[in-house]
Amino acid sequence: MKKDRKKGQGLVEFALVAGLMMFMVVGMVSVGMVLLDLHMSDVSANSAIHAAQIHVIDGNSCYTEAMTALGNPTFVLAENATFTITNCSANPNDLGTRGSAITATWTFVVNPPLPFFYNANGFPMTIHKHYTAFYSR
Amino acid sequence: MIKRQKGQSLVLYMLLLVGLIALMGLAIDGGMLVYLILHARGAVSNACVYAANASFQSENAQAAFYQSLAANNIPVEGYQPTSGSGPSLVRGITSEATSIRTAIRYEAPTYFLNVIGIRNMTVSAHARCSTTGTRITPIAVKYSSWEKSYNQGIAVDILGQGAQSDIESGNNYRGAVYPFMWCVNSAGDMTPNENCPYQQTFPPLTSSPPSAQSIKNAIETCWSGFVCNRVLAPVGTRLPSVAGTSDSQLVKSAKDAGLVVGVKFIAMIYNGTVIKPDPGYGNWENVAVTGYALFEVTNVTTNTITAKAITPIVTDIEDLFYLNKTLFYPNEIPWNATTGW
Repeated sequence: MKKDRKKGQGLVEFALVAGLMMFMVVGMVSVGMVLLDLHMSDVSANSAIHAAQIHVIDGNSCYTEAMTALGNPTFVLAENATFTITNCSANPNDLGTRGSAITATWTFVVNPPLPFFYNANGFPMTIHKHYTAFYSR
Repeated sequence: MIKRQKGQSLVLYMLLLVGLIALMGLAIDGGMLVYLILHARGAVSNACVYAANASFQSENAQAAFYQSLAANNIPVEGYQPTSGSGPSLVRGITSEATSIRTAIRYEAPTYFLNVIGIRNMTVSAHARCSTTGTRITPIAVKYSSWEKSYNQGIAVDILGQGAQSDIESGNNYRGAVYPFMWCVNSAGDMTPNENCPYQQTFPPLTSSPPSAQSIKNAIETCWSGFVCNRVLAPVGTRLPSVAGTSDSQLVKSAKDAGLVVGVKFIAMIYNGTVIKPDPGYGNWENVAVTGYALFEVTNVTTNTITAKAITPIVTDIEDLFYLNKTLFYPNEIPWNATTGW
């Protein structure tokens, strides 16, 4: 009788451990993907705003310089990613006023593939990544 | 024996759980730390450039630094009060002879690592910026003069008397042009036009066509205030030559603004042809920019400034940095740079 009761023990233990392991691995991968997107948005937004900050009249507009520096970042998880930059004109003859603020913002939705996060942490979550700089030249 | 084995899986399970939570905490908090450091680096880099340019313009660099960091949500304790100095600066801003150092450092709370007693992690970043610049002058040197100077290592007349020698056309050329006024087709068409039917103006000019007095004031500002560094005419741009002034007046305004022996400056290079427009379009004689080069003043007389070319011609002015570490405006430089700034 005792021998029969022990028969499924390994399976139950494996199921418990494997379930937890899977949850944690998927969780870590999800968090990693969110962080990757945050890093990507941070680096690209800063590149763009730095280009805008040091913009001078050289045939290219502030906006062109900023968008060239922004590049075409690839997000892992982010959906509906949009980039905006304020006070950075598309007119190549517009110098910008020294000392005035420029704001670069990435807005995107992250939707990790782990149901637990949804209610517990407010996912899917809209993220706004801001950088502000001032015309320096 | 069987009884002693009963709790074995539970113990292993708990150990595994603690280990996994610690690993997950490390991954999440480590990732957040990297993210905060990245943001701090970006913020301090932008703030450094803004502060260095403020210093360059004789404004309050510290106020500019604080303003920029506050706008990027860096906690005040991260940059005030200043702590450390030189290469050991921990937070705040310090000035050196030709550069500033800036740094931020603050403690950010952890999330998961809090469970195992690690409540804070240190976020730090630093940046260093030059506070000097090399002026872009309204001087346009003909290619043949640059070639002779650079290849033979001799000085040539670049402003005033002598600057007009060897040019193929143009009557009034004195070696100076208006960098903030471009000869283009029309207000909406920036294509260069040698007849100069429309003069596209940039700061410090505010209207087109500009008044004679405003041009005179602008060219004086251009010499002295590094204002011309804000308008970089791309290769191919046609710039009107400075007219209606004597050699001695031009040389005096340059000299008064600090263009004296030993000073390095950036000049435009043109091919040697000064175009005189069809009379139906007006009198804006003009030259086409073919590149930029760095010069050093070797002699100043009443009527002439003489200089020696010290770099090849570049078509993108940022390339001068790689040739001569010449930054035409304050910008970020390596933290440990010991020479050149």
